[in-house]
Amino acid sequence: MRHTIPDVNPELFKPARFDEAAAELSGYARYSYWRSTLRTFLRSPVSVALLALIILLVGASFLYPIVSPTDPNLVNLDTSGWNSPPSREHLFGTDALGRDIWARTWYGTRTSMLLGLVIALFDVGIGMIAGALWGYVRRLDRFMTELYNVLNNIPQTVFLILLAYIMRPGFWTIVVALCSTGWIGIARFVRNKVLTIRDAEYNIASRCLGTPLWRMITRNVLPYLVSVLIMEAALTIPYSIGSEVFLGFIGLGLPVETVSLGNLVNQGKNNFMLYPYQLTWPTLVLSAITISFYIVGNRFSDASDPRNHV
Amino acid sequence: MFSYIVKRLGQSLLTVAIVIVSVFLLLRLMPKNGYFTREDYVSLDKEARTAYLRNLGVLDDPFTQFSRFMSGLAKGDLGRSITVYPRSPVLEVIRDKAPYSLWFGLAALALSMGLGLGLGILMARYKDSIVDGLGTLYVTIVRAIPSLIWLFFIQQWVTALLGWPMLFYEDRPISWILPTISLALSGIAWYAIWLRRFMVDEENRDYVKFATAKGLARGRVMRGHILRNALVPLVQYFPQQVLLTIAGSLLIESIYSIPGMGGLLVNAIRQQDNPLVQALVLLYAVLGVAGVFLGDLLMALVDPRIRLADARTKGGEA
Amino acid sequence: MKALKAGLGIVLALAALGAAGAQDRYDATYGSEGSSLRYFYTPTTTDQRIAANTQDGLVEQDRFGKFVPSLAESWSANADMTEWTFKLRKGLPWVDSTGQKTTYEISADDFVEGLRYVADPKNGIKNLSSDVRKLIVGLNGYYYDLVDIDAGKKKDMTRAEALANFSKVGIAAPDPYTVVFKLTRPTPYFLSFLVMELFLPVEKAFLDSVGLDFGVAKDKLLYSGAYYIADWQRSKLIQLKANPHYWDAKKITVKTVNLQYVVDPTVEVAMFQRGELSQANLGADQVKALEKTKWAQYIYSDPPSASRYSVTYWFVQNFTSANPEWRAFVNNLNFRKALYYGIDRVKLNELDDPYKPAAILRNTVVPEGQVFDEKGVDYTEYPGVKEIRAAGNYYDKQKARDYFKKALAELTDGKGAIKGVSPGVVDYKPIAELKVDGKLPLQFVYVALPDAVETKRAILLKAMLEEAFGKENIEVTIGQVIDDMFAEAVEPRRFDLLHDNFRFGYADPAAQLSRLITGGGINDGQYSDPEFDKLVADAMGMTKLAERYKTFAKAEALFIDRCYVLPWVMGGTAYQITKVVPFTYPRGGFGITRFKYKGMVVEKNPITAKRYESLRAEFYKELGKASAK
Repeated sequence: MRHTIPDVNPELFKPARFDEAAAELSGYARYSYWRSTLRTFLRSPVSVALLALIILLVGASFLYPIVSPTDPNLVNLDTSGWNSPPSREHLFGTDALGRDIWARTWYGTRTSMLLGLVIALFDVGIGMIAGALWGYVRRLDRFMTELYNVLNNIPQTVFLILLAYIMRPGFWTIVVALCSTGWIGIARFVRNKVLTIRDAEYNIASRCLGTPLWRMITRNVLPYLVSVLIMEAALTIPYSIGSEVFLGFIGLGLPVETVSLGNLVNQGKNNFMLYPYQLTWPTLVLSAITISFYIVGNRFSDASDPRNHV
Repeated sequence: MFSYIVKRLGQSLLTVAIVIVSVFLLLRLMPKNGYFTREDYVSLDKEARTAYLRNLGVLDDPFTQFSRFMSGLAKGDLGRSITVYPRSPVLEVIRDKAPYSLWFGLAALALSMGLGLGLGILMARYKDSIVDGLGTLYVTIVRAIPSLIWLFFIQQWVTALLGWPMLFYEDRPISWILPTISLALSGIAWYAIWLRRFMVDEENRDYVKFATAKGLARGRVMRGHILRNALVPLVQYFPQQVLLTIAGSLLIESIYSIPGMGGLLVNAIRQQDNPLVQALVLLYAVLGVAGVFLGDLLMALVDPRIRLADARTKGGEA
Repeated sequence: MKALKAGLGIVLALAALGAAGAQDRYDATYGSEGSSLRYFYTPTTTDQRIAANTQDGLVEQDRFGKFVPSLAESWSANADMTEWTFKLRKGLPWVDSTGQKTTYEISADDFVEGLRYVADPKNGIKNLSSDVRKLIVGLNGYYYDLVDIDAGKKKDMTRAEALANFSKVGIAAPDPYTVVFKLTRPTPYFLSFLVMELFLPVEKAFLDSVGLDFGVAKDKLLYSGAYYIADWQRSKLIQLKANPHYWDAKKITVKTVNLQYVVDPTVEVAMFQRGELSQANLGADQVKALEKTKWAQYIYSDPPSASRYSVTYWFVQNFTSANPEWRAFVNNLNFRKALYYGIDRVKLNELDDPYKPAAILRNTVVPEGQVFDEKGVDYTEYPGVKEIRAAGNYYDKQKARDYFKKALAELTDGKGAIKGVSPGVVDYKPIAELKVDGKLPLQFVYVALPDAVETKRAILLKAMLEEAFGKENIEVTIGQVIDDMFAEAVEPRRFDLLHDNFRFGYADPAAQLSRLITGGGINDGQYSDPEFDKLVADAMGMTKLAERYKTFAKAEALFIDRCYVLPWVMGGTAYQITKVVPFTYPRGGFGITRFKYKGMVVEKNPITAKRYESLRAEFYKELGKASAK
């Protein structure tokens, strides 16, 4: 069968002039990854609401100590003021020593949020860098795998108990204790993800073109990891609040007069049957924080996938 | 492949050796006062205390202690516990306790994989639907509320409601149900959430779009492409999870009074029962390292793009 | 119809049997894991309970706490009470873990072997205290010979030779049914040592056959007591069954004892409510939780039956503190008196016992109801101690403030500077670190254990003291140890104030007072008072009990008047809800035989608090008659 070529308007075949301005427009120059991520994220009202909740809680917990004169550690020497139920004076009631739970909840939220954020920052920061290198640089693989296996198999308790004998209880002690082993888990996760991306065609292409390693990691690999990392960070916050209680048991907790959500919840749990409000309110705040972080993290990581942008 | 396995085996042995030696040295750094109670300090003078420690064998120099441990190990003798179960052979202690943790752990793992993966698939397939929302709610609740609290409620209320025993009894199968479910709850959430995440990530890949464009049924795409690829990063944790079920769960075993391995290591460390700690660390290290090794092999098996060794023969790059 | 009738008959018969009362089964829990079955070494109360019920010693305590015959039928002591002779019951077999008779007979040799086992440092029986070693002739020397040989310090003797010297130790079996103890000093209270686990018997042939495995499993030991261990699963279950060959079998009303491992007290209570247990111990929280339920009528507390009743808690003040401010104050009697009257002990107790917080106060260091003279008079009824005991709750904030003012006048220059104290840094790391400036407020470190209640207590004490004396005068820093108060705070001297507790070891005031003297074993404050030391030394030399106790009482009164320690509370409350009829089982303050289930009556329904009260009145009437005899 023969094809016949229909008549074509020769006008269409005029050589085009190169228009520099138009060329600029047609590229991805206007596309900003982070702006698009944010735009996609903000499209969902749930995410926005939860984000507002987080900002509200965090803001309130940092403002409260400045605004309110209530001392969260003020002990009531009159025993009739112990374990009193919520009232106008004490919005969340008082605990076993007559301390105001409303004030303690805000102070505790501040401590725990700070703790969680700092730990998440260190864990994810170190874990991400180490993991990307681990996955990308083949020579490191053997060493890092070894380090991972060793760290992963030394019981954390041995290490933490020893740490307790050396360090005084305090904020940074907890950060050190949790980060010293926390980062490697994240690193491994990142490494596995990198392993699957490393040999993707565009990366092979990049390598052939002689892109420096650092640039390849930051431009080609990390954006793919952002979603995973945000999730990890969101999960590290509740995890570190929980761990704080365990660390308290082995002498690595916060000083007794520092209020934290971890020890509020723990104390509340002991008396739950009797004074449910002592557990309910701090737990509600704790759950609100973790749930919002988690969902916001999840949404944000969905939004961070470039293919969801268009 | 064979040479790779041999190499990895050697490497694993090295890891175990490093772990054992480090734990061994860390244990010697522990202060010795953990061996005495307040009354002991009153009733024993320094010399008597030293004599007690010497007879436990903790005063010998680290090298002697280490060679004693190694030579015992060579004969298959892990020594005797010194403080947790004074004089009981370590092997006997582990033999008494391990089966409970193992069976509960495996049952819970099967449950959490079954339900968790199922839930994950549903959530990914019907993304942003009510199923996804409910699933997310479940996962969030399990993660957000401290486990101590819901475990406590399950034990108190569910047993009261159904009239089930509060503790585990070996001869009453009905008492096995709640501990297994409690153990599986967070596992279900773990599998569901990560599978959903990976499937959603995978769904946006070009090959999926291509397959869909080619006209493949959505179910087929899900099963044949998305699910398979999304499972890859999860699969490598599986061997380790199976092997380490033997370590038990501190919390759940103590709540239901299951005589498993859960609190054993922490107890042994706190009471400075060096022979017991060493034996447990050895056991967990071997299983942990073996788990990682098997995980990597498994991952290579399911994902042809991953080449573990710098094999000269080109792998199946598509 | 016939069958139905028969069935109904059986049901009725069973119901009648149940209502009649006594159950032959006792179900309870244990929270501290028993470590091994080697009954000579009993670090936890679980171990002690098992040892007491599966092994018998020479004597035991009955339901009045009196020492009565056990495996020994009778005994006598020489005139100065340094040699005690025990006559054993004849023909009693050792029993194995199936309840079968073995070919071994319980004989005098078994007691000698028991002590031999305990005295060898190789066996690691660390509860062999220096009190016991120094009491029995030659035991301390024998023990240290072995210690020195093991350490390579003693070369002129082999281990075998040293072991052979056991024949010179003051325990002997002149015939199969006679045990003789020789003691280093007159000891009228020797029987109170014999209820300890250290004096239990062991069958040598069996011990040799199991070697190192002795006591690692239920079949690796033999039983001489009322029960044998029928089942033993680590962190799960201990089951005891009555020994059919027991000498006192008719008194064993409970044939099966089932102990389950339960850590959470809430679960224990719930199990009791569901009828799975015969007895549950309650903490303050559980008592409160049951307050308005039908269970409230069954709750009562009987402190003297608590296992830690004879333990006394007191505040220890560091007289040689590295903190110059505290050192200046604590060596001033007026300041110590200010603390004595200024610590509201009842309020501190409310954290454990919100109902009767004053009922568990203890003003003396020697517990009441444990030491009696020839006429049955309690040591704490002797002049000097009696007044202190009668003072009850002596908390008085005004008095405390007055004393504190006096102390301030003596110790400061009136402008807030503490005389003779220069600024410096107090290093109690890792517990705390203080910068002291030599000026008021007086800064000091209170050291506490890290558990929830102790943390609360520390915060409360701080608030209490700062309120009583003014924040401008006093500033408390709370320090916490990890888990070992002695090793982390007391021994390295990293504290100014703390509270500690001490068990009362045997039936003589010396058990506490002799170790509180200058350089004494529990003189943790490192104070020194020659007058007190002399009184104690004098009392120790007396054998007539009345005289002895009079002198001890004088010493204790002086000791407390000068506030060397600040006594606080007795060991623990004992709220319970139980089907066990109170006062049917043994009691006492030391040793292990008080843990026996012998005589215990378990009923079908819980005992009401009302019934407890009437039984209690009855019991103390009987007790009065018994001691008057």
